[in-house]
Amino acid sequence: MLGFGLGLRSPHYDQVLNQQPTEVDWFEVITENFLAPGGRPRAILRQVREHYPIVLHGLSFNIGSDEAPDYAYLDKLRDLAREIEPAWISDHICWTGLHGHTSHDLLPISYNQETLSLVADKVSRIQDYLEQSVVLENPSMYLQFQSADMTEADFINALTKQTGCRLLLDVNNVYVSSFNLGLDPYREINAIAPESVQQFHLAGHTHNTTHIIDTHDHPVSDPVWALYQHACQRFGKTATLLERDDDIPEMTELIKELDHARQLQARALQELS
Amino acid sequence: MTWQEEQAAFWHWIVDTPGSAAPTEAEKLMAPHQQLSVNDALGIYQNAYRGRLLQAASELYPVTYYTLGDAAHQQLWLGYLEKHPPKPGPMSQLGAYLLTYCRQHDPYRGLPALLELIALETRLVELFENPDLPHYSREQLQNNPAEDWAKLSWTDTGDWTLMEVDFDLETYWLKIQDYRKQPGAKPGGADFPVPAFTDQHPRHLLIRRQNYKMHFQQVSPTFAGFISLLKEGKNFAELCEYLSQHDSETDVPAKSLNYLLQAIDLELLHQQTIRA
Ligand SMILES: [Fe+2]
Repeated sequence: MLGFGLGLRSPHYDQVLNQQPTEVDWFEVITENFLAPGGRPRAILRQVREHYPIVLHGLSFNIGSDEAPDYAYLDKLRDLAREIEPAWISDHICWTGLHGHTSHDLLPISYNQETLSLVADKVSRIQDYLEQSVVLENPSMYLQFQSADMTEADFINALTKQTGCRLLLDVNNVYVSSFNLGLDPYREINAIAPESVQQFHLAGHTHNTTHIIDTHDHPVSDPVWALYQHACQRFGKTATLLERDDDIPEMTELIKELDHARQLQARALQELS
Repeated sequence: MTWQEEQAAFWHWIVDTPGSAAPTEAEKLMAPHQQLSVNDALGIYQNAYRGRLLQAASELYPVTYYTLGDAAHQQLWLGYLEKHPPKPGPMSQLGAYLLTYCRQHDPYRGLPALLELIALETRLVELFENPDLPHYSREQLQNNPAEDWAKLSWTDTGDWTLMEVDFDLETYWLKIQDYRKQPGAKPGGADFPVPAFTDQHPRHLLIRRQNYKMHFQQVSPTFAGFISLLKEGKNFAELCEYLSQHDSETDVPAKSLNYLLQAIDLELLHQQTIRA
């Protein structure tokens, strides 16, 4: 188990390299920022990798689209993975683009049998090409399609079973989607097959009374901490990653939050035993 | 409706549709929502799409952004992205066609200083992620026997380029950096113009990467011509020939060597080859 990690972001590069904080067990990086073989980002990543395990977390698999996998992207990813030897490679259960264009954003999939077979096929092709299984994250949702007739959990369980991919369970995203779609986040977590979960994400969001937006610009909220503790009880010891993408504070602040996650997981495991 | 048709409709609402989505059509596709209308929910995706791209654009083109301010930055980029939606690949390529777009569209094509700023920042972005090649050193040069010198030519590191400018971007750049450190500084808030060169122009800018940082500096027309020929793979004899045509007064071999050493010290060269 990797332990408790942080998303590696540029304001913290110097501190990570100079001080090598021991409170952080591993780092997750946004794959797309490190694909270029030259330049500062790749050089930084090489140095960070000397001291920490790395997970590559990308946004470009576009698994919800029936367009062919982006092999140019996958080639670069394969080169990066050969060099960095990540603990695993992850991406998102979503689609990002259409007709040769990309939104650079995570767009929602209608959960039904038609999309399941399309997504499963695409995931299998990507895994075959990369010669490894991948880890996929549940996104934040703001609406559902009329054509959806499966729950997200059923869709994910079928996908992981059919393809051998694993789940990056973003606990904050479960909370955000559940609030926005009027679901019970605990029921959503309980419906996920326990053996499918590889990793957790934790992050902050923005609550706008009528809806919640997944902004990654705040500390983790109390209801998400409670849901995380529940997830730890259900899924056991699981690698956990704290994401922060905006209003990025000093790393000591993030380390405090990470320690809280560590304590909650330990408590949950203790209660289990 | 197939999933592909649903996606095309969704894409159209968030990417192509200026302003708000078309609620009646969208509501046929989207399930009713707790407390948020379908239109507002689509707006979240639309804002996320635009917000992410505008944010990336302001980071890739920081001086252009600070020159324009938020409203003009948004107008420029939304207009550009409508014509050139992002393609798969690194986010850093977002502005690959921005200069071409601005040269063809009002009001930008009538703003030469803005066009130069955009050209400069585009090149900074392009060079930033080029492969890291080892630098050719003075020692490597000195190891050559005297009889080979005339035939020596070089390949370059690929992380530098030259640009001709009519505006003093160097001075403007520094002023913007200073402005950004001031309390209350905000994009669009600086009240100084991009200074134009009034005497001799165009001037030559050398744009290069060193220690993973981007630099640019003015160089003399003769030196600019010299390193352009170096990039083309001309050998030392040809470089001397070039200098003798441009500056016959001076000791040409000594000046050629001096320019070559400057190019080495600026880390512009990668490898030597021997070419008659
Ligand atoms: Fe996440």
